[in-house]
This record gives sequence, C-alpha cells and structure tokens, in this order.
Amino acid sequence: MTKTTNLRATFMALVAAGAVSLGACDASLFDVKNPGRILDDDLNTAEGVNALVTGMSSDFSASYDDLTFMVARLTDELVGSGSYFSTGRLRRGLFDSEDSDGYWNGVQRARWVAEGGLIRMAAIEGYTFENNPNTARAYLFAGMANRWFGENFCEVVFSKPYTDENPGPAGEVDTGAPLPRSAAFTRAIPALTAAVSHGNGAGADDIVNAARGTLAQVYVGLGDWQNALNFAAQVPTDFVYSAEYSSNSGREESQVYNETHRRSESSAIMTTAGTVGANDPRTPWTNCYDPANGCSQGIRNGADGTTPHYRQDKYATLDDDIPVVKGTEMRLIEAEAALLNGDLGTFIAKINDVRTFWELDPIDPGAVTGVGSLTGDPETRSAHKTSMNGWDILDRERSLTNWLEGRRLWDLHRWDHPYLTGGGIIYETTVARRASCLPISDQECQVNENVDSSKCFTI
Amino acid sequence: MFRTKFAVGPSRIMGRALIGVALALAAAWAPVQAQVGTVTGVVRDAATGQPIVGAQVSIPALTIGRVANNVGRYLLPAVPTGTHTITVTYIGYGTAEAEVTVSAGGTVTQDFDIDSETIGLEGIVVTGTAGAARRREIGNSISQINESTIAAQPVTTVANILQGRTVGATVLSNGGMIGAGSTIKLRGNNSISQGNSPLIYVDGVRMRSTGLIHSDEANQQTNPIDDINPDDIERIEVIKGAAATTLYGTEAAGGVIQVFTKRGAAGAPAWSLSIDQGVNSLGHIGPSADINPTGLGLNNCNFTGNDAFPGGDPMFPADPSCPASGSWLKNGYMQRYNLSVRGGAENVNYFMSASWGDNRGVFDGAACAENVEGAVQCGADAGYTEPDQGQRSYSVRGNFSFTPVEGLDVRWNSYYSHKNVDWLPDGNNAEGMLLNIFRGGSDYTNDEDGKVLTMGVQNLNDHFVTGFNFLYSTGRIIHRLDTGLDWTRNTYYEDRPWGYFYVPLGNREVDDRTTRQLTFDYAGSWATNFGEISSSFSWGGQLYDNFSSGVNGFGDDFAGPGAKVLESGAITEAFEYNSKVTSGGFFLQEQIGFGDRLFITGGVRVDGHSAFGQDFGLAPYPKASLSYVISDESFWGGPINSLKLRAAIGESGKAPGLFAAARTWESVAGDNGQPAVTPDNLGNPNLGPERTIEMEFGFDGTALDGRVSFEATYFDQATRDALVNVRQLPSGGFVGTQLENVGEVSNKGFEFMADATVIATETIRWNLGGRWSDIRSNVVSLGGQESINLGWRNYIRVGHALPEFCHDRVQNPEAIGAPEFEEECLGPTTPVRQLGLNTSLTLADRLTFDVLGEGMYGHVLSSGTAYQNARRNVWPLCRHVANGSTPASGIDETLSALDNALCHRSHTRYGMWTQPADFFKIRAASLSYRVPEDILPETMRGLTLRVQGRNLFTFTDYEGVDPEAFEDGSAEVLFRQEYYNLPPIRSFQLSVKVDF
Repeated sequence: MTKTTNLRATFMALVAAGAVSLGACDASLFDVKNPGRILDDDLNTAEGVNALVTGMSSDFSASYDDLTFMVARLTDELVGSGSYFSTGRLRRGLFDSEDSDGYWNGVQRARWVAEGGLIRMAAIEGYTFENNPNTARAYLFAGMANRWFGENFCEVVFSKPYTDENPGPAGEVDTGAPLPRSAAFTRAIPALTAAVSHGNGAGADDIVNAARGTLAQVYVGLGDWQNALNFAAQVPTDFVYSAEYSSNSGREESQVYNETHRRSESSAIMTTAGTVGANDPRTPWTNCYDPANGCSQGIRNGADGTTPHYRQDKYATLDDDIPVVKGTEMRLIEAEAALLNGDLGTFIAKINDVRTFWELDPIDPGAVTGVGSLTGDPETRSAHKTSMNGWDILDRERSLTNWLEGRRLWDLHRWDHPYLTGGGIIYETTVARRASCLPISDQECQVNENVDSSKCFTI
Repeated sequence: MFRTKFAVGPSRIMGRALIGVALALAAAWAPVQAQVGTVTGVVRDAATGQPIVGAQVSIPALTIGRVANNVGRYLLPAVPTGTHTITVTYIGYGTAEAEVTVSAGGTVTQDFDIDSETIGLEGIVVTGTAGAARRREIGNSISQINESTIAAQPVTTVANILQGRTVGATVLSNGGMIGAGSTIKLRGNNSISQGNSPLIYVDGVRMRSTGLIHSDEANQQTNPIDDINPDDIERIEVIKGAAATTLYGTEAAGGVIQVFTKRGAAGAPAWSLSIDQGVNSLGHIGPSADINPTGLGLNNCNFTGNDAFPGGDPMFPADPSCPASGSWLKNGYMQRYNLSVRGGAENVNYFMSASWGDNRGVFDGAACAENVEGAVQCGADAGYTEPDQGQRSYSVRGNFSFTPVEGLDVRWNSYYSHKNVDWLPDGNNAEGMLLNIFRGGSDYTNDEDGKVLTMGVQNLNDHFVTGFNFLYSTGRIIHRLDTGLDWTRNTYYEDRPWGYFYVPLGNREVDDRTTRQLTFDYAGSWATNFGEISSSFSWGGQLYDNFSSGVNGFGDDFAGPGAKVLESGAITEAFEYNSKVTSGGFFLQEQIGFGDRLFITGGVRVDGHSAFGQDFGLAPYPKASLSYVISDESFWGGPINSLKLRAAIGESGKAPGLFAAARTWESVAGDNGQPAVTPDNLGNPNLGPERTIEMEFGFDGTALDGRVSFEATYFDQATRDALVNVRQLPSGGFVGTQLENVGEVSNKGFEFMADATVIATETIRWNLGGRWSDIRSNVVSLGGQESINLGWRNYIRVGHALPEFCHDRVQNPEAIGAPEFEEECLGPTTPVRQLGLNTSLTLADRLTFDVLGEGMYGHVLSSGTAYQNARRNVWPLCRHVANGSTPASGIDETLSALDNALCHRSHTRYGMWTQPADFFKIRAASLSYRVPEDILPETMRGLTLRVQGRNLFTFTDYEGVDPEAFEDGSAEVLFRQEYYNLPPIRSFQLSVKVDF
C-alpha cells in the first residue's frame, strides 16, 4: 500500500511539475538564439569594416557574373546552346520585366551595400573614415555599381540609402521615382571622385586607377568625351581591375566558368569570337565537339543536344576574375573619340596599341577604308567579320577585347547596332527589335508605389 | 458465433473505454461468488478472421470485464449464474453484444467476429485531450484506418496505407525509385509559404514530418513517416482541418496524423512471422508503342527496327552501353521478413518486432562497355557498380506496458529503424539517367548513357523514437502524460569517381544531419454527470523542442582513382546547419452533453513559439463544436439507424521560419576567401503565425440495419494573416523577400465516404466502399502583390488556385504558319477531386479478394520531358514535324500553328505541354487465403497466404510520362512538374504469414 501511495505521489508530482513548467511559458521560454546569422547592430564596429567592405566586393562579384553570362547569350557573344528557360528567350532577343528581376536585384544590392555601407562606416566610432583604403574601396564599388546600372538598364530607380538626414556625396536624396539611365552615371561621379581622393590619401594606386577608369566609362555614358579622354589617359594600358572569383566557396565561383566548363549552356560556335576570334588571345575557346581536344565527355554538344560546344576558355578556372576596368578599354575609348572626330590616324594607332599589347599583328592603316558606319555581319548581323571601315573595326575590336565582360549590350545599345534588328545566330529572332537594355524589374514595379505599372511589361 | 455488424442501434452502455477497463479490472479482483461459471471465447476481425488482441470484453451490468489476450482469447471468470449480455469494444471497431446463459460451475464459449467501423458513432478516437472520446461526442470528421485494413493491403510504407483509403487525404507517389517519399496533404493547400504537410505523432510523440535531405542528383527524398514499419501499426487516425486540430495549436493547420502501434496482452508468447517475396516492374513508357517502339529508349535501348521502323528509331538510336537484356528496365526483386511477438502477464505485457527488407528497383544498372581488347563487358565487369537502385532496411521495436498500481497505465514504446537507399541520378539533372536516355542522341552522354552509372548517390537513414505514456485514471479524472524523443540521422553521399565522364577529376559530397525533437504533452480531464447533463472539462499543455544540426562537406578534384573521402579532393568546402525551435502552449476545453445525444464543446489553446517576432507575444486559437445524435430521439425511425449531425469551428496555425523575425546579415566569403557579410533578412518584429479558421458541417450514420455506413462533410477554411514572402523594395537594397502576415487563402471542400456490406452470409461476405472529395484552394490576397512565381510557371496568383500553372498557349491553332501565343492559366497543379473505390469479397471466411482504386482529377501537369524533347526533335508525338536542321530554318509554313506551337523546336512552349493530368489507378489488389486451422500443426495458430499487386493499371489521357510523376519528390514545395523522373512503378508480391 505504501508503494502504491508513493507511486501515486510521484506521478502527481510529475503532473504538478509539468503544470508549473507550462505556467512558466513566458517569453523567455521561447527566446531562442540560433547561430549562423549576424544581427544588424552587431556590424557597427570598426573591427567589422573589413568584412563589410569585402561584402561589397562579394556582392558585386556574385551578381556581375550573372550579368556577364546573360549578356553573352542576349548579344550572341556566346550562342545560347543550352536548355535553360531563359536561354530560349535570350537567343530570340526577348527580355521583359520578369526576366529583369534577378539582374535588377543584383545591381541594386551591389549599389546599396556600398552606398549604405559608407553611411554606416562614417558613423562608426573608432573607424578612421578619411583616407582609409576601405573607404576608398567602398566608394569605388558604389561608383562601379552605378556604372553597371547605367550601362545595362533602360531606366534606373533609387529608393535608398540617401535621405535628407544622410544625403549622398553630392547631396543626392533618393525619391524612388524612375529616372533616365544617365542618372546612374551622374550618381557614380561623386563616388568615384571620392574613391580617387581617399585612394590617393591611402596610397591605394589600384583603387585610384580603377576609379579613374570607371569615370572614363561613365563619361562615355554621358557623352562627355572630353572628361572620358581625360580619365582614360590616366589609366595604363596594362592595368586591370576585376570582379573577383574563387574556388574557395560556391558563392565566389565564376558562373561563366560553371556554365561553359562544367555544363555546356552556351557555345562560341559561329560567334564573332568563334570565327574571326579564332586564335586571338583575347577570345580563347576550345572545340569540345572534337574528342581529341580533351574536354569532359559530357559537354561535347550543348545542353540543347545538337549545337557543338565551343567552350570559352577566357575563364578557364573557377578562380578567373572578370575585368571591370582595364587599360586596353581605355585605349579603345580614345580610339572611339578619335573616330567620332574623324581622326583615323589616332583611331588606328589606339586600336593597334591594344593589339600590340595582346601581341597581335597591327592593322595596316592603309587598309582602313574610312570612318564608315556599322554594317554588321551579313548573316548574323553581329560585328562584321571582314569590313575595314572604322566603325566596323571598332565594333570588332571592342567585341573581342571586352569579350565576356558584360559590356556588349551597352555597345549595341549606344551604337544602335544593326544586330538589334533581326540579328541572331543559331535560333531565329521573333521580335522586330531585340532587347538592348533591361527594363525596370517586375518586383520594383509591384512594390514601389513611385513606379507606375506601365513601366513594366511582359513579352 | 455471433455477428454484430447488423446489431440495431447504438450501445449507450459503453463509457469511456479506458475508464471501463479500469472498472472492469477492479471488478475482476472482487471475491469469487459461490454460484458462478466462466465465459470464454475468441474475438476476431470479421473480415480477416485475425484475432483482435486487446479487445475489451465485459458484462457491464455486473461491472465484470477483461481484455482479450495476445491471441484474441478472453476469459471472464466468476460470472454469476443467469443470463447476461456480453459487450465487446475495441478502438476502430463496432460494438458487439451477445447474450449468454451461465450455469453454476459451467463454461460458456462465446466467440465474436467484430467489424471494423471507421465511421460509426460508437467508435473511439483520440482527440488531443487526456482520454479517448466516443465519435458521437465529436463535432469533427476523423478518419481511421485499422489493423485489419492495413493487413489486407499490399503495403510497404505508411503512405501506401493512407493512399485511397482516407477521404480528404492526397497521397501522390511522385516517383518510381524505391525509397522515394510520397507527398501527403490533408484537405489540400491552405498555406502559401509554410508547407502543407500534416503533423505526425507516433504513440503520442511528435516526429519529424518532412524529409531531411533532398538529393540534388536523385531529385527525390525519403519521407520519415515511411520509416515506420507498417506491420507494427495498430491503427492510424487522421485529423483533418483547423477545426479539429485546434488543440494541437501552431503548426497543426495542415492536419494531424496519429499512428498508434501495437501493444502486448496477457498470455504466453504469441509469435507472428510474415515473409513477402515479390518483384517491382515498369511497363511501356511514354507515347504508345506504335509511334514509340523503344519506350523513349528506356524499355528498349538496343532497338534494331520493326516493320514501322526499319533499321531502328532515329530518335532513340541503339545505345552501346545498353545492358545485355536490351533494356534499361528489369524486374526488381523484393524480399521482406517481419517477426513479432506479444505476450505478458496481467499487469505487464510486451509487443516486440523485428523486420528486415531488401527492395530492389526497376532500373538495370548493368550497363555494357567495350574493354581495351574490344570485347563487350557488362555490369561490374565493365566497371558499372552503381547504382543498383533500391533500399535495404531493418527495424526493431519494443512496446512495454505496465500497470504498477490500480488506475495507472504506463507504456514505454521504442523503435529504431535503419534504411540504406541507393538512388539513381534522375530528374532535372544533366547527369540524370532518364534525362539522357529519354533525349536519345541529343543528350549529355553522346548516347552512351551507361557513363552516368559510375556515380553513386546514397542515403543512410537512422530513426529512433522512444516515449513514455502515462495514463492515470481515478474514475472521473484522467491524467495523461506523453513524453518522448524523436531522433533522426540522415547521411547523404554523392560520389563521382575520378575519370567520371562529366567531371573528369571527380568529386564527393557528404551531408550528415541530425534532428532531435522532444515532446512533453500533459492533458487532464474531469468528467461529471448532473442527471441527463454530462460535463467533461479538459486541460493540458505541451512543450516541443526541436534541434537540428548537420555538416555538409564537398571534396572536388581527386588526384587519381580509388575510393575517396572528402579530403581526397584538392578543393574542399564545408557548411554547418544548427538550429533550435521551441514551441508550446496550453489549452482548456469544456464539453457539455445533454442526454448522451447532444454535445457542445468549447475550448481555446494559447501558444508561444521561438520563431514569433519579439513584439508578437502568444497566439490564441479558439474552437467550438456541436454534435447531435438525432437518431437517438424518440421520433426517429426508418431505414437510417443512426445519424449524427455535427458542426465545428476552430483555428490552428503555422509558424514562421527560423530567422524570419530578425534583421540579419549572412556571413559569406569574398576576395578569395576573406570574411564578408551580405544582407540576409529584413526582419519583422511583429511576425506571428498564420491562422487558419475552419468551419465544418457534416453528418455520419448507418442505415439498412447497419449494412451501410456513411459520412459527409463540408468545410470552409480561411487562412488569414497568411505568411507571404513579400518582395521588398529592390531599390531599397534588401532585394530578397520578407515573411509578413499579409495574405489570405480560401480552401473549401466536400468529402463523402460510404461503406456497404452488400452480402453477408455464413459463406459470402462482400463489402464495397467509396470516397469522394472535391477540395479547392484559392488565393484571396497576397498583401498587395498580385503574383508570386514558384518556378516552372507555377504561380501563386490572387484569384487563382493555390498554385496554378500559367503559360503560353497558341491562340490561332487552326491557322497555317506562325503560332500566336498568349498566357493562359490552365489550372491547379494539385488534384482537386479525388475518388477512392474499394471492394472485398470473402468466401467461406477464408478466401478474400480485395481491390482498391484511386482517381485524381481537376489538375494539370506540365511535362518537362515532352517540352524539352520536342525542342530536340526527339518527342515521338512530333515525328510529323520535320525541323531537325541546325540552325532552325524558321517557321514551317506548311504546318498548322498548333503543330508549330507543339513541335517546332524554336516555338514550342511549356504551356503547350501542360495538360489535364486526370488519372485513375488500380492501387492495390490482393487475394488471400486463411488456411483452416484444423489442418495446421498444433504449434501453429494460423497461416495466411496472399498474392497481391500494387499500381497495377493506370487510366489517363495525359500525354507525358506519368500523371503522378513529380521531379522533386516529397520536397515541401507547392509546384509540381514532371521532368525526366522515373515514374511510379508497379509491384507484385507473394506473402505468407504464420502465427505460432
């Protein structure tokens, strides 16, 4: 009987303990701290600035290769020989607001982490903002992101981070309203100027050169050739500043490498690089359809099952970086300025500066048939393969020099290139005019009350 | 022998079963009277003839009662002389009664054959309160599947048990790989972002209800519910809808599945051994054989031609790596052995079991290759050791019950299972076996598809569940305490050897994850009567602690051949998973009964959850229900013997994701391995659960002297504060989504089920059953957004089904030349209407033929296989479209716009290959024979032989590979698409069950 009583008492005690436990169900019971994330306020330390600025670089790189791979397929720098849903649209020149979502998000994040990060850095106690290489680099990323924004998107929108309380370096205040793409170029200038200033103060020559090169690019975007020439001239021909990639982690890997070496989603076959670019060190590729060339057996054909895979080898490892600013492009900016002025002598000299740098035979000035105009390849309407007029030479040289660097769409747009009307290599175009810039994204249209829904479209 | 199925009217004598047991046991200890006799007999299932262990046999008027022992035998000693009514009750079965006349010192034998009754009013179910409840008291629909039903089916998984037998439950097979989990949903979809899988409880312990590791290569995953050995299950209760799951609180809006395993009973050890032997197979694949003689290259991979295709099929040329049989398919051998024993004494008993199985899939991995001398070798000789798709598994269980003191019932249930699944690379995957086979020569392997088979993809799953159940009854007050642990460990291996065709240097991935879920669940109830008015007050609280951890490692680029570990790679990378979720709450409920026919219930549950925002607080969920047994009224008469009207309203919820409430940054790397941060989550301190409120109306009853039982339910759910991944302002920098309580989903439906005994004589028994449901989920609001793209053109769109497929369809099909496309929303991708039909015919109590069919209707499925093959000119339905040149020459002006839209490689669209996916399948058929006991050796109590088949026939107009196929297996996602995955297979099985 005593045993029974004890058992009962034990059981009732358990019940009571349970009830008491449940009675204590206050907030602390459910206050669980999980590892793996950093709380926003925890970043406000001087020791955290390195990670913050490296994050700007990481966010820039993580999206810039997406853009590069997309632009390659949309402009036939590489033929879309794969099976991705997007590839089918890109090779037909289709690009709508829903397609734009990921690319818009990528550039907006890259821009905001840099611009917003600078505001945070300026307020961190113990961090020396002035003439700090981290400050210079953050300004450079802010400027490069805005250059990327302006070159590729039809219109731009800024909602954050500049407010009345925290205006931008030139007093900018973000309204969230759509603006012409030139607004991104204009916004880049004070950031890049600050990058030059802080970079000089910190003795960071590579940041200074990169900022000057980007200034040259944005002044081209604004049509201010004088300033473009001024900054281009300050960048040595052998200078390269790149978005960094690495086999260290999946996020750092080069997508262009993955899509062309590990998979066969796009091919250089029949492209400018795949034809006139054969054996050109600027546009290396391998014919993987030929088993003798030692490619992985799984990528003999494109993922479409039929197009022979000419594998780009410009990015031959997961670690290969994508140039964002380089001296050879500066020489081509100088060449283009000369062409605009009808100065064929300077034009061809600058073109040959680049070719010489790459150890290519210079173009005989005597072979140049004049300034001319863009004619486009008779079949594909891409860069003309043999024409020797000035514009066709520039078209060809820029497409080869800047191959797979996410720049071709901008050239096609600003030149109103013949390729945009009916161009295409493997698959036919089904629109009268190919997309030459990326529209405001569907997400921005849906969420931003300052953007009229008519700015977005589907095709 | 006394059959009770047709006994008229419900028994009002039976009280709460467990109280009854306690009283009966107490009575059994009373002093033996002088003028007494004994009543004994066996309680069996009327349909299967199997003994029912644990059935409660009593003479209520005398408060005498005993529980049938481990072979179904009962003994009522010291019964006073005279005529008495004996009552037999058991959860999930109808009540049986018989009159016996006891003489002094005599023994009366009274056997009972009782019928499984999953609808009737007197059945007993578990509802979340302390004790079991009679169905007549409950205002909700609760489905139940009993041991006899499970035993009659060819099942290898728990999902098999639910399929077609449970109205309102959608169980989709997804794929044909052995080990692939099914998708299980109760009453469709009511959550946009938080999954729609039900909660699973096993003997009171909450277990993980979704898969742990989804293989990117196999594109399938295991489902933890399938870890449970079906032979261990006594019954399953399915609680659907928020009105019924209120007491389960946050996370229960998708419904609750309760699995109860077998218990021991007094008696000498009673053993059961079952042996299953069988084969798995797959029939012709894809469009009909006259236009697709090779079955997309899968049925015949070495086709050399016939009259229609002299010289072979150019779409699917002979594959030099084709196995020696000429087919990539084989009959996969399955074997399974299960041994169990149950027994014990009056106060201590046990049930123990062990099982071992080896189930091989239908894919023949013995590919062939030429060796250096030019000789053709196959299988292991040619280096093709992977994969032999299939699963090896074993499990052990020990369930022990104690009655240490009067009124206290203690149970300790423990279960361990191990599973080794070898997958086939499959689905949307460049190295997928079917993708490369189905694409003929337009693939990644240059049509030597055997190259894929050197890759190994494997899951090792361990699952341990242990729990204590305490039930303490003091007559009117019952306390129940369930506490336990659900522990799972899944280890995933993916190996590409050095020299692998797609990754020449090879690589390896290991993903090792563990979850630990603790349950503490206390409930009490206090029953009182005030004349005709009864009161049952319930209270309780639960606490759940869920911890997950794991490490995912990669090793790339090996230096040479041989078996590898991660560090064999020149490049290595690792990730860690580590999270904890704590949730819990308490409830109060009062049920008032009037005249044992009208019951009104009201209650509330209040929950906290670690994923709620810091400013949110606790979440209350109210409920109310009414049950009215109108047939108990004096005016009632006619052919309907019993009828209960019921109505219920209640709420339950779904919790937000782990980090959704806080503003966070993610640690990443940049600048070649330097530490960096990137924006992760915007944060929402007010984040709370989404709440699903449900109204449910219905009736259940029996008619025609109990020959027919029926149930009908209409429900209307509204999920308010639905958690929606709201897209943030991209130009504001945080470009991802943030969970917000801004959405609304409507989910309405109708469920009807009926079972009928058409013939019941001493020699023939014929039962028919049917289930029909029509469930429609619709998106009412997304908090200002109009549409969310789930991928593959499955959308969540305001005003449309959740989810719905929308994509381009040709608008000028009759025209010649270029197709004009416009986006159309084609329909939901989750089945809307479901039909389940079953029949069983038993002859002479021994020979039983059982068939189950299931149909799903009203939904569409996109065939990625057809679309992608059409783009490559290798889809047999497009043979008439000749546009195989590269580059494409443009629109074929001789074809109709429809043909161009379907089959032209440049113009075909996913929308054109998205079709109604209605189907009806013969899910199961079996023929079983119970050998007469008198011809068996004395040591043998029973012998049952069974031949059975599963997924035998499919009837469909769907033109893709299979209307049930889904490339992402049982992943907790809303979208569905068929994309080069092995379709569900059929199986044939011969089973022997010996009781000794």
